[in-house]
Amino acid sequence: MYFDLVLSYFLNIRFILLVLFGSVIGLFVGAIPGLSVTMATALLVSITYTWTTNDAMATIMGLYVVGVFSGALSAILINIPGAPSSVVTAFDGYPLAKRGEAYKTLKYATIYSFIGSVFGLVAMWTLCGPISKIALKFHPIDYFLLALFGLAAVGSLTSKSFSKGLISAAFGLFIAMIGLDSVVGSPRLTFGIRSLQAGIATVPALVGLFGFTEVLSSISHNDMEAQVSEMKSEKIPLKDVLKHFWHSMYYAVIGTVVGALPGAGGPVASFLAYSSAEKIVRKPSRPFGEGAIEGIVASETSNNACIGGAMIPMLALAVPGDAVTAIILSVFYVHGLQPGPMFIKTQPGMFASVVAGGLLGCVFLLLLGLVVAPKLSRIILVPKRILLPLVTVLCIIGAFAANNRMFDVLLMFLFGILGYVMRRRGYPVAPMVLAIVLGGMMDSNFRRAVSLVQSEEHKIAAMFSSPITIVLLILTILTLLMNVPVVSTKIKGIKGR
Amino acid sequence: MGEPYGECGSLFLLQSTLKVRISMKKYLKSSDSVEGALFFVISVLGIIFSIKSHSMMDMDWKLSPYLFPLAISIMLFALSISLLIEGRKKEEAKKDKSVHYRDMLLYILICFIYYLLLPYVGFLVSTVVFLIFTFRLLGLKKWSMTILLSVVATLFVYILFARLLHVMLPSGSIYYYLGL
Repeated sequence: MYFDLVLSYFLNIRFILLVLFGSVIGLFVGAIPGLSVTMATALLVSITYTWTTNDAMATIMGLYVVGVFSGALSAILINIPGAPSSVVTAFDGYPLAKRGEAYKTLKYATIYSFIGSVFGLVAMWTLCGPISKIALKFHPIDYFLLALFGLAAVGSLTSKSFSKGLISAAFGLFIAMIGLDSVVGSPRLTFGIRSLQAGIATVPALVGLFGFTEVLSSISHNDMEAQVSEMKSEKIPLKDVLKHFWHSMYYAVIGTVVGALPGAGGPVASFLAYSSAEKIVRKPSRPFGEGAIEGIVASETSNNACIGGAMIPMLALAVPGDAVTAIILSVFYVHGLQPGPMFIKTQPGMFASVVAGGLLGCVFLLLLGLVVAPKLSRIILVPKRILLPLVTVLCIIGAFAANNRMFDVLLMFLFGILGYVMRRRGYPVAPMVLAIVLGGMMDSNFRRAVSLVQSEEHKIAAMFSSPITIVLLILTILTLLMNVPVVSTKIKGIKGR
Repeated sequence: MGEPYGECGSLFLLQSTLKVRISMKKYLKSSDSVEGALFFVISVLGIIFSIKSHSMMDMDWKLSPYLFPLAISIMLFALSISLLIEGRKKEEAKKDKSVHYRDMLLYILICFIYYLLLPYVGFLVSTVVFLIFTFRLLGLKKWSMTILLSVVATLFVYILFARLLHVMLPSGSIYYYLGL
């Protein structure tokens, strides 16, 4: 699987330095509550606009891998997860830190994040090829159904109310429809606003929904200070740390599989791994939730294994698994590349750079996590009253830089406010983002499928003829049905009996 | 929860006139059912809009740009009904958390003014001013610290993005007219 290509990136000094650059950003961004990996990737897309795809990919992969890990830092030290996927880490991490074991906890988190990331990325490396081969048999209708399945899954997993999740997705699709139509080329849903004819660019929407929304909700909650735990250096033998290795493999599998499902992501994976850890670990060092190191192992391994998992459908099918991979997908589009079944064949160099970037990111994760992270505890205490205005300026630059249009800045603000209102009212943002990124592809595949079928004699039979279509259709319908209140209460009733 | 207001220095006067703290409870009275009704209306409008725009295009449905919007509208129609049903069932008040709308609205206002000024005054000047205002609004007390931070941060961001990463930041049209 292109070992030589991957290896060549390992020897490329420029590439290594860019991954390091991304990793350092990731370390800070992940650790500082209020800055998220998603936000930083969205900003990076606009900044790396003029770079070569390789350079952009190196930076983004470094940021992604290390950023997901370093959310654990603030979860452990100040009990505020730096990222949603570190929520579970805080369960046991903060109690451990309060007992003065912050250093030890951080070391465990680093090593198991490393193991998880490597596992996920190796899975991506080996599985993308075979999955692409299956994906080559996909018809337009299959792509449409796959995207629909992704949206339904995200909608059901990210919100308590399934309708709200799907409504968020529906509005995302509307937003994606704005602009010149891809088939006929006539303007649609622009309401006579000329600036809208170019469509709503993905980057300002993403930066607004993730960056500015976060700023607004921090201000409205007025949480400007936090308490930090002390960090005492101590020696921990590697043998002790690696005692949990076999369990961690199990968590890594959970993380990778959950990551590969469209819609689920780090938070879901770490919850699942944590709850299975509660079952398989017979004698935890302390009860779970009161400072069990096993909880840290489960949460950190699985949320980092998610990275590789989430990249699989993004690369092989062009259907991203979560918000960050949706943004990475837009990086490919911005650079004129087309991920999907042919991607590995036509762009082996690009695929290798994703793999190499990720693996190098893991190496830097280990280095930065063991050497730099223990000294970072002061930095995550940058008061939010200083951080938030700076983030706002970064959001504006990010929105502006992609197309040099002030209109995009206005869009960014509007999306930020929209995201804030959605968050207040319990509408998840992730389905909307996924829908904005996937909308164009869904639209054109849907119409292609409809036109293809028009020429056939038995229309319904022609549309659902291949086994892939039927499986996807059943999956989509099941996901939708399972979440209809009447059905879900029935299922619970049967289980309860 | 009232104490952070005192920290805001010169903006205090402006703020106290706007002192509206809406509690979450009041806000939630306009709960899911209202939103459901809103989405219901939007979806119906979407269906009408799609069909009407399509009929003006003189084209088969299979090629029509409005086929997919129509499909989404129908989906939204179903969802809005489901939300209406959900909203009817639970009318319980959620956690009552006071929210600082005033600070947030002021912040949005400052951002908007910043957005309007940016093309005319340019990135450097408008960002320094923006940062001074927002730092104060969020409760940074010392003036010396505020100004120093604003200038240093602006220069840092400018050098990083405009010089090193070659992002074309607005330079300000006013200087052109002033002959600078």
